[in-house]
Amino acid sequence: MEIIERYIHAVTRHLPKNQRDEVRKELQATIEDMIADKMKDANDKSAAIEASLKELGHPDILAVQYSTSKQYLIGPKWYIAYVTTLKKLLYIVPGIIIGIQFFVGLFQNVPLGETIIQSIGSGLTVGVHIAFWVTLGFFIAERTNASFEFVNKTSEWKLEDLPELPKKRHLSLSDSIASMVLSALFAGMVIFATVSYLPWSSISVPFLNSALWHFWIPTFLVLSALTIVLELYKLQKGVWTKGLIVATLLLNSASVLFFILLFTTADIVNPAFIQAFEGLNSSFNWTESAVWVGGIALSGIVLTYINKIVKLIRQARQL
Amino acid sequence: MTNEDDLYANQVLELRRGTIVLAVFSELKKPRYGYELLQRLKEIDMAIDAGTLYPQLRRFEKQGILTSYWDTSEARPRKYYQLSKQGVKLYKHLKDEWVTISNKITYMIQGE
Repeated sequence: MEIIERYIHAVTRHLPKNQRDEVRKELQATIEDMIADKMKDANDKSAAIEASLKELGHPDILAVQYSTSKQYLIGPKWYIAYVTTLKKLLYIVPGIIIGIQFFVGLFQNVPLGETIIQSIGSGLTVGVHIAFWVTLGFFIAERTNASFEFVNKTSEWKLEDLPELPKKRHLSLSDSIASMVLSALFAGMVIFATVSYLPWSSISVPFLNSALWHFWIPTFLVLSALTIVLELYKLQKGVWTKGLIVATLLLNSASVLFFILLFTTADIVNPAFIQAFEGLNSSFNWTESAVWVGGIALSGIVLTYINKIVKLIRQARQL
Repeated sequence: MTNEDDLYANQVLELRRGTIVLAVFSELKKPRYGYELLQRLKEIDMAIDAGTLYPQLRRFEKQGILTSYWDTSEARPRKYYQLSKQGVKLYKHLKDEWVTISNKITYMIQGE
């Protein structure tokens, strides 16, 4: 009756040693009883054996029933805390690491492609580490008598401890922050492009014309600063007010005008850059392409602002 | 099985789940071995999975509700279970609870 022994072995192999013997004996007795019972009706032993084992069910399932250890990594008690912690960490930390790695790479004159790959690689590595250690921590918590107040919801809780209602935000926080960050970044890039150049490029003069500093760039910086200030004010207020809408409309209109004038009247690109560029690509006519590229860029900018203004007007209608 | 059959089966299972312990205890005033219990429950139509019953008996023993001993006198060694002193007290308590609950349920069902 090797098949019976194989069944019992399949059930008991993952059980702790002290349980294994007892369960084996008990199962053996039960199976034999079951076979004896079935053989009262029909004298077919092998059929009786098969029927009995099938009746007991898949050995793995039976083994799970016998096991006394928790058959899961993290249970309901700790799951919410686990997921919340994991989410918070994964949203913030890898992003920071990627950013730091990226900027360090840039300043160390590492080629851009390599920097990007390294940054993403670091981000992923950090992410995996976070996922593993957080999971391990909660795995241990699940199996010890650890308990924190927020888990022991049966303990006394006070009404004052209830969380505050979220402030009614008609304005998206992430949008505002993104907008401010982009404005700052863009301003930074513009300044960078007038005084320095990309270390790995073959042209070693700045892209933007330094003559722009006489009027255009200061104006641009003022407009950027105003945009950021307005965003902050918007965040603080929490809702669109008439004043906010008017101010934003004015700022956007001024910005559109600014860009149109800039692209149509000013010499944006550094003449030295144009020279160097034409030197490298002799078949290239700068003035022609500049009109095309400038035109496309300007259209893009104007369209973006028109979109913003339209949205603003819609907001104004709702007020 | 359709979803309706699943729902039906699940709820019936839940209903039975609470009562099976009481049924098992009622049979364990005298010492009985696993298979014997299985058979008796089947006879009164309260059949339970062997895979559910045996581990449950072990858990009760660990909690001190049942006592056990191995009978090696027969050809087949058998493990006998019986209600411990604590188990008897628990059983009485459960019986009283059962009467109370079933009275209430009967009342609620009839009141429509």
